[in-house]
Amino acid sequence: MLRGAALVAGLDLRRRVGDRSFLVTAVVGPVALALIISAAFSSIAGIDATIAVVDADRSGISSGFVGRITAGESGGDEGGDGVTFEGRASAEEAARAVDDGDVDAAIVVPAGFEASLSGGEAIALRVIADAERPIGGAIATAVAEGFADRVDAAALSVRTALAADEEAFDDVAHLTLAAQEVRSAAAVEDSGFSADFDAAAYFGPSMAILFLFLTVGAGARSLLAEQREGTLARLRSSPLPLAALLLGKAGAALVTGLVSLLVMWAVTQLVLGADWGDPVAVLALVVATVLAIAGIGALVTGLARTDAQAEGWTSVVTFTLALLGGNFVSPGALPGALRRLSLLTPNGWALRGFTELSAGHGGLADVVPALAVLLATAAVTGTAGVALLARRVA
Amino acid sequence: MRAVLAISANELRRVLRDRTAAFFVAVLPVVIIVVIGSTFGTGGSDLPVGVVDLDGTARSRELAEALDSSTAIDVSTYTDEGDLAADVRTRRVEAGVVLPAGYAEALDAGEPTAVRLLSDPTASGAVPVRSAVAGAVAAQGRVHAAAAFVAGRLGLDAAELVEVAEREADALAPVAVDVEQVGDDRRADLSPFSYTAPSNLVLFLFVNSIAVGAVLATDRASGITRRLLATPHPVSTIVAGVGLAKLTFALVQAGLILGVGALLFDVDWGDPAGAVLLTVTFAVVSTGVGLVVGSTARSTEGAQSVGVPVAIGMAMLGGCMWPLDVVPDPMRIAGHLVPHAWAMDGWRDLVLDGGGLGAVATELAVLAGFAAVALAAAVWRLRLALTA
Repeated sequence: MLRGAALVAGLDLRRRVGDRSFLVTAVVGPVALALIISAAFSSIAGIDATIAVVDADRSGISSGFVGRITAGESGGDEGGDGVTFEGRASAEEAARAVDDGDVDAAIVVPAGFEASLSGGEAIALRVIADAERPIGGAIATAVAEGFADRVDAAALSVRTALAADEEAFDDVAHLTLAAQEVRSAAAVEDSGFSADFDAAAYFGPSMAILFLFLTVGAGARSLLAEQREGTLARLRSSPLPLAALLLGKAGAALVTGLVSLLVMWAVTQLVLGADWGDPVAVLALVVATVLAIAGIGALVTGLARTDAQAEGWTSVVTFTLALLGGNFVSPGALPGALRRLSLLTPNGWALRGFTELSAGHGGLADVVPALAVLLATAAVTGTAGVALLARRVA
Repeated sequence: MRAVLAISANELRRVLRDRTAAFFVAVLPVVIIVVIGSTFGTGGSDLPVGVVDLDGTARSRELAEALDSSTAIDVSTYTDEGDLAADVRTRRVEAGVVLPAGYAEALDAGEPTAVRLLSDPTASGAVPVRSAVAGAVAAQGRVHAAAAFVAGRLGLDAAELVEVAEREADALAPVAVDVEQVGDDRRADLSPFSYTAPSNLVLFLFVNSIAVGAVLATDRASGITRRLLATPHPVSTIVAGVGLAKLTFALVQAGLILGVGALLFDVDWGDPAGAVLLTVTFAVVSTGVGLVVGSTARSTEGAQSVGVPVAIGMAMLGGCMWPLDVVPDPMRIAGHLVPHAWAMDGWRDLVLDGGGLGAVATELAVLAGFAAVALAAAVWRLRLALTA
């Protein structure tokens, strides 16, 4: 029985390897897509932004701020590495420069800004950004907010002084000047995390999983194709038991799926230097993922009437699950509701597991929930699928 | 001409009967626009942020509460910094805030201290999260800085003045920062689906044209095309009929996405003449490539399993999955080797910048070049396949 199964599996595998289009879906396609994505996101972390600054106020406060940042003084909130500031004459000129792409964003201190601080409502600082260059806009906003905080801290200091002891501070002009030096006692310190997001370690498994649906399902579909072409009848007339036939087909499908994922692992690790994480846990997750997707493939095929219909349904199921599971977007890009929805799909769980291992530096214990869901999916869909297929061919 | 129409009508009927094709043509693009569009949408509300309080003082709790009451973020509490960092890396939370030990002590002494923000600056919610956290931190920090400043001058203990400063802070409206987007008012009013709708139009037009074109391989194998040759029509009529059917199919698909985009997602496709020309030119390019694939491939399944991943790869290179601004220069240049990038440039001119026909002249010219090559190759391969 086992020898028979091995024979069927070997025959199936040999036929697959000889099929060029199969090699594309199983190996070349997913690896190529993962390479493109990694190349596209390789330098996203490096920040290189130019921000225009306009002093339309021409007051002590505004010229101090503009002078400080254009001189490249790194005083805490001012941008950081890779950010340069350039002075511009007017808000209109700066807006044009942003629109033309000469600068990434602009900060404008409007006319009358300092004067507005002493009475009632302060005039707002302006940031001119371009939606197509969000990082430049984010940096300009952070710098402007940092400046606003300084102004607020100075204003609050003056008010607190006068409220505490008005007589002691009779020289308000002097007090206001001294208060300019007050800095908020607490600030935000950014710990750059982008270096930790390894696009290849995320999109590698993501693309491999997408294609797994197509390759692994081919095993079950080949059963229907053989039935249509009559080769199945010939096989059934041999002394080979039905169980051996099914086992062989399933074995071949699982091997191709495993090879597809393992090749992706090897290529991304060796060529791109991606780190998928703890090898033992990765291997366990790879096996569980292949089993779950093979189970779904068997079920879809078992429900279909013909191998062509099975192929169509498989594509539909593949893309629906990939969309919901988040295979096409980076983790965290899914909004809250969809993020929860993604955990209704096996690929969503698999991806979460792979992310846990690569980005989260987790171990086997961290992927136990993912493994449990995947294996349960494999058991339920696989049993149902194989039963349906067995009844079909018997 | 009547023969061309009859052949193409017959071809179309056969494709439309396929329910799987209907899913890929009608359902999938719309669903993808919804999913991807909503990830790029405003998303400003309830961004999940984790907070770990390593200080455990009244001051740090006060800051944690201030963060919690911020409308932009939804705070969950952590006890371990490592857990928080892991959740930020796996993006279970958008960002993490670490209130360091000694935070209150530094504040009370009026010494500068920093709250650590763990976040990926490229994440979609990075900007609103940073603004919200920085705002709350600065609000508390300036109270203590002001108290320390005044206390220093009066020779008092800063702690005595914190209450005064807090009272004054409540009465003081902080300086606001107004962020405006260039590209006049058009950008501000644009639907959040304005990038994803055109990119899915380009992506699916091409992918489905390949898939539909690949069916030719089966028609060739089953002899349907040879039967057409038995009719008294010249080969050129048959080539035109088959080509027209595939092009019509592509245009129906395009019309569907354009219509759904405009009606359901409020996408303004821009200058009508520009939009129509861009759609038709790209549809001709796609159909041409699809016909070449279908008349060259040995089997439909093979052509589809190779063609669809290749088409997805081309869409990635051409900026249908992400804007080409975010990729390094060599990738942007490589992207413009495929027609997708030119089509996307055109759609950005029309949809995002509100440009007219003149704005997309270059893109249309380049696409027309692609179309001419693809059509010539298609006619040549199709003739060969029909007569061989």
